[in-house]
Order: sequence, then structure tokens, then C-alpha cells
Amino acid sequence: MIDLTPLWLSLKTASAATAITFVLGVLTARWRLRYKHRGLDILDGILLFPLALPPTVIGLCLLMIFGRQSPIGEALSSIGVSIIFSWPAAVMAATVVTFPLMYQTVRAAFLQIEPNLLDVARIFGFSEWRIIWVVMIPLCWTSMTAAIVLSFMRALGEFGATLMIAGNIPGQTQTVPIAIFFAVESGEIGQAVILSLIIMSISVCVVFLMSLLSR
Amino acid sequence: MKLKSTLAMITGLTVPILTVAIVSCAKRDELTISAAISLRAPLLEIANKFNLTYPHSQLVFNFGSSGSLRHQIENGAPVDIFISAASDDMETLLNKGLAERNSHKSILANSLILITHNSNNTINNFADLNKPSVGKIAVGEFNSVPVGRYAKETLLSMELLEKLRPKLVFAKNALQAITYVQSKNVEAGLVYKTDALKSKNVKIVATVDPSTHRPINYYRAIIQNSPQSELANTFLHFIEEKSSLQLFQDYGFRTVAADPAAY
Repeated sequence: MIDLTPLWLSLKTASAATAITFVLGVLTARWRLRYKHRGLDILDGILLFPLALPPTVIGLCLLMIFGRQSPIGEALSSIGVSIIFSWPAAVMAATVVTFPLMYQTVRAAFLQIEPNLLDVARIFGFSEWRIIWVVMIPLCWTSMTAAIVLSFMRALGEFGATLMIAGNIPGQTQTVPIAIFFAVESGEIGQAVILSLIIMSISVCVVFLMSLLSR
Repeated sequence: MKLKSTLAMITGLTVPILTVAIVSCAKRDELTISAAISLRAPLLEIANKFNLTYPHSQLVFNFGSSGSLRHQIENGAPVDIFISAASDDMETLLNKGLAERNSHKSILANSLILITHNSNNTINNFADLNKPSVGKIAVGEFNSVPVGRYAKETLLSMELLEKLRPKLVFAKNALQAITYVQSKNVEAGLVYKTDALKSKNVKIVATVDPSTHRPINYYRAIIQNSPQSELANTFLHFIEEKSSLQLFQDYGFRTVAADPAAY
């Protein structure tokens, strides 16, 4: 019958990646808010760089950094950690491609916050950490949801980088886009179509929800 | 001003039209051959020789996994000859009337082997694949590529499939599986002998017992309604000449006595 494991795997991977990207994006944006040197604009360029790259190039870079033949990869494998061709690699691929999206949106949102409001919170004794989660994020909630949803959908659809560093391992790294690709290759069009329809309906629901929330 | 832009427009239109006219006037017979990716190196070498003997011909190769190539042909790709690494893909085309049955023939055979990276000393036979130090094994995707199907048959025969399944990483073709082994991101791979011979970084650990899988034969046929059937026949005879067969053997293939597959 129709195998839905790729679907659960995709949802699991996209959720994990979005969560990690959200935290990383918020922290980086917050940090960047504080340090406004001109030189750090270059850093922004580097952080947003993956947006312009084809996912296969991102995959290749990650492969060269974490693969067994690199210094980092060898060091990791000597302590028994093997990233390539594992579920964490799938999460990593999804995180790297969604980070620019998240960072871009969150930073733009944070820049809109009235600085006085943050000072007010400080007067009330809020720690910087608390300010992020209790003041800043709720203030830009619409942008936050947009960023989270965008990142989630991008992570769900991630194919190129995932295939390169996580490979095609059914049950472990075979996410929906990879499953669809290989299903078509093997002539299992039924499986491919069903998975595609499910993803399409998720997308439709999500877009609908987003337009509702942005009212 | 107006004259300039008119001239520009005329040039812009005539140059492409002239190019197309000139190119299509060039009397070159173009033969499109879709072939299994494992045949790439020997076929390209044979093609060079063929072009020397038949300079008016132009061979266009399309290499890929037999499954993808079959797909393309089914969807109308303008291919003249199909050389498949699997009988299934060829049979599908024959049954659909897309390939000419009387041109269908088996020409070469290959062997399946177990490879590891040159630096790996812990794997010496199939039983060693069960060791915990063997994290991942690269094989072809079971349903879409022949090298995968043969690997599945072998693992099933050796009763290793279920035990090793969690370790399997599925590659799109044998070359990708070899790349995985070369990169050391997997510990072993089940690939064709001919592909493994190409890589300096992997070594052959064991040759799979041929009785554990269906014969790995390569089948060729001319695609139905090919406008180049004469040139196609010429090419097919060329690749079966003694010198061509010797070339294939140098690459690790075995030659098959000329008998049509029993379909």
C-alpha cells in the first residue's frame, strides 16, 4: 500500500529544523541589533548567502565540511559521530537553507521595535533574555508567524541539500521530496502522486492560515 | 536613429535564422544512443573510433540509469538505440512496441562486487558487513536501478537483507555508490566490477557469486521508428567487432556469445 513514512519523517525533520532555525535566527537578530558596526553588514551578507545558492551547492559545501574526508569529519568520526547519511544531517540541511529566511524576517521585525519599549522593560528589571522572549517576540508576532511558517514550508520542500548529505535512506532520511523523486524513477507514480497531493494540501492549508492570521 | 534600430532588428532576426539553416544543412547523420551509465567509458572510446571510420556520422550519447532512460523513451524522447543494463527495462519497451524485437540482443555481461575504501582493513567478506563498525553500506536504489535490483537479489539469497537493511544508503546509480565509498561516508558498497575498476581509491573485497542474482547482461535494441535505423545497425555491428569486444573486456566486462534473449 501507500507508504507514509516519508511524510512523518518530513514533518519531524521540518519541525526540528524550524525550531532550531527560530532560536538561532532570533538570537542572531537580537545580537545584531546590539552591534551595529558597518563591518557587520558583511556578516549579514554571509548569513543570508544560502538564500542565493542552489541547494545542491549548499549540500556540497556541507558535505565537504562534515564529510569523513575533512578535518572536522575525521575528528567527529574518531569520537564515533557520523553525521553524513543520518537523520541529523537531514535536519542540518533543512536548518541551513531556512536560516536566511528566518534571519531576514526576524531582523526586519526587530528593527521595527520601538527601542524605548525595551528600555521600559529593562527598568522593570527584565533580564535581556526575558526581554527577547516576553517582549520582543510578542511585539512582532505577525512577522514571527510568517517567518516560522515560511521556514517550515521551505524545510518541508528541501531536496537538493538533503539528498546530498543525508542520502536516500527509507525510514531515516527519505523525506517526502526524496521519496517522490525515487518513486517516479521506479515508476511508482501512484505513490508519488499521493505524497504530492498530501504536501499540496498541507501547503494550501498553511497559506490559507497565513492569510487569516495576517488580517 | 530609426535606421539603426531597423538594422539591429534585421540582424537580430537573420543571424539566428541563418545559423539554423546552416546547421541543418550540414550533412551529418546524428545517432542518439541512450546507454546504461556503466557503459560510458568504453562506449565513448568506441565512439571515437567509429567517428574515424564513419566521419559523416555524429554520435550523441545519453547516459543514465536504465530505468530513467526507459522512462524517457516511453515519454517520446528521440532516441535511436537503447542499451540497457537490465532485462526488465528492455522487456518493457519491447512489450510496448517501442523497441524493435528483431534488433534485440544481449551483448555484454558484468559482475557485482563488494568494495570498500582502500584504507579499510576491517571488511574482508560479506559476513563482516554485520560488524557494528560497519555503519553504512551503499547500494543502488532497489526499485529504480539495475545495480540496486541485483544487490537486493544477492542480499536476499545470502539472507543478509533484513539484517543489513538499516545500514543501506540508496544511490541513484553505481557511480554514486562508489563516490559514497570513496568519500568514506559509507564503509562498503555493492557495485559493478567495471565501475569499481575505474576508481583508484576503492578496492574489491569480494566478487558476488553469480548464482545469487539474475545474470547481469546488457541488452541492446533499435528504437521503433528510428529515422536512422541504417546507421544504427552499422553502429551496432561496429560495437560487436572483435576490437570493440576486446575494448569492453579491458574495461572489465565479459562478452556474451551472440544469442538473442529468450523472450
